[in-house]
Amino acid sequence: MSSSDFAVETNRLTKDYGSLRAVNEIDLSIEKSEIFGLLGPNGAGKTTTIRLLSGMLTPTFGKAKVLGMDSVEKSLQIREKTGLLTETPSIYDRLTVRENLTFFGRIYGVKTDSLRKNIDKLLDIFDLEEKIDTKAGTLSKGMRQKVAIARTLIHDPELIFLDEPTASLAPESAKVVRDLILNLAKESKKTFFIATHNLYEAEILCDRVAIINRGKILAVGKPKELKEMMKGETYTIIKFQEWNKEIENFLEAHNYKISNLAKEERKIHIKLKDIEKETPALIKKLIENNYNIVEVFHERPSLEKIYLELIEKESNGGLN
Amino acid sequence: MRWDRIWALAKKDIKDYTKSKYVFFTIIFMPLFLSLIMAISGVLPLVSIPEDEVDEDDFASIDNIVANVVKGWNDFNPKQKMLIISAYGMLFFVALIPIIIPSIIASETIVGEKERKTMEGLIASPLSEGEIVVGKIVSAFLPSIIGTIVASIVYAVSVDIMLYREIGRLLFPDPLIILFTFVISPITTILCVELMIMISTKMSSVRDAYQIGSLVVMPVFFFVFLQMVTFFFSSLLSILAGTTILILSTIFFYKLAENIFDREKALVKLV
Repeated sequence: MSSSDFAVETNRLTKDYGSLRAVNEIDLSIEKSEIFGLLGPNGAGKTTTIRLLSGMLTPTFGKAKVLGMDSVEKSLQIREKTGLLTETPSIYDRLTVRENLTFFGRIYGVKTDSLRKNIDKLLDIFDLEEKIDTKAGTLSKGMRQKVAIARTLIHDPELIFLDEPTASLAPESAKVVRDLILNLAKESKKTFFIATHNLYEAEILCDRVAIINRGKILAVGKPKELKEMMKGETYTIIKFQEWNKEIENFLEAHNYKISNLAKEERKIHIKLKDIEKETPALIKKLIENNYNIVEVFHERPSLEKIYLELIEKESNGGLN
Repeated sequence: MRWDRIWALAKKDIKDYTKSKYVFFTIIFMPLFLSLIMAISGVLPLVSIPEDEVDEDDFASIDNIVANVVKGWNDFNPKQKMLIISAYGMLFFVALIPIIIPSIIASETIVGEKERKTMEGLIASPLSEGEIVVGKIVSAFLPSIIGTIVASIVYAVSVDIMLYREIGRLLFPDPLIILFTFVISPITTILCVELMIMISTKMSSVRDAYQIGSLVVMPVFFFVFLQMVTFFFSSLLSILAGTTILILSTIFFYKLAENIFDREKALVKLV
């Protein structure tokens, strides 16, 4: 893959605020048209990473290429070709939706004709036609966020940075915004860089996810790949018709590692080394011994579990 | 520097702050109010003083200074002289307008952006630091100049109406009010906005910025006062020197404001 196929490439990208290292030697490669998620807790370095990539901050050391341009030397051009949804909507409450969109279009140098077309298109996409002459300050949070995303897209940027796009929204508004992002990404084929602390959001929106904590990237991959990393953490759960102490003894006698025993629910959690091979064999043995099984299923590690585990390991100094 | 972007920013600011009742009131009513009040309270009461009660010795110290500026000064009687001096004295208060208006607008548009968390959107845009600073100057400049012109006209007309019967001619327009309206006040406005930009980097609320700003712009008022007083000494050289100092100060403070309004520093302060 040539470097022109990448929307973002970083090499040991680092940012210090005084003695605090906010971003620590980040190496990332994001393909064009990819939806990339940067997942981490508050203060992990997500916003600083976005600010470095959008040409707003200069790295302490290391380099970033955004849309093939150096983030320091070509910061103005990068800001022209990218859109940034900041953590707060950055829209003017006393201005109407139209006035907000017009202002942002103008400062991004959009010509009058294109601006009119872009506004109409965005109003249609975001279902804001009826609110066009309403003051932004009177809109609901969800609507304001729609206007904020619309203003991020007003100049038709190639790369869109979204910093916590649903953080302050009610669940129903967050869903609307997530659906909008997904539709936009599908239709426009633009590159999205989404910083979020919401695991569910990262999982459903992003093609690939990087987990960041204390400025360091702990893991990068597709949500599925990240789950694969924790394959050993998959549990086989068996629910029996009735609980019997003999079941426990039987499993222990056959060297099965019981991770959890929920007697009241008649469930047992077992960690198998090779799920594919061992699960049928186990079921067979249980049936042969007349232990009536109601259901058998596997509980794979969620992105949440992976995320929490990685963050915990890193915080304890376990990752190098 | 792209003027279309600067104008877009200035236009947005004007639209935005004219929707604030407090700012709108300041821009529209303050110049009218100040100029009328100064004329009515400072000049009008003196009109009714009987001529024989005015003692020329009371203003003998400035008699020669005003004689340099007002034609036929020595032909006026003591009461007429007192009225003319008071008319010029009250004009100094009108000189507060190009200081008050830009200070309020700049607090509103610069610290207001921080307070309402819209600054990051600007910093993320292709606007350069210089374009943001100039855009803010333009948005404060226009209402300040319009306000000053309106105030000067209102003041000049009201004083002329009040004094015409007393002194037998129109006192204004004269070179001082023209110098003040079209030379000193535009430069003062720019200077005040630049100072407010510098203050705004340290402030996080509009109210704090306005309070601190009111103190910081006091030296500007003192300088404007001095420049207008210089006029009475009728030395063209001193007027030019004063104006040059004001212009050089605006250039110096522009560079300083542009440097202080550094994208990165502004962002770090927002964190």
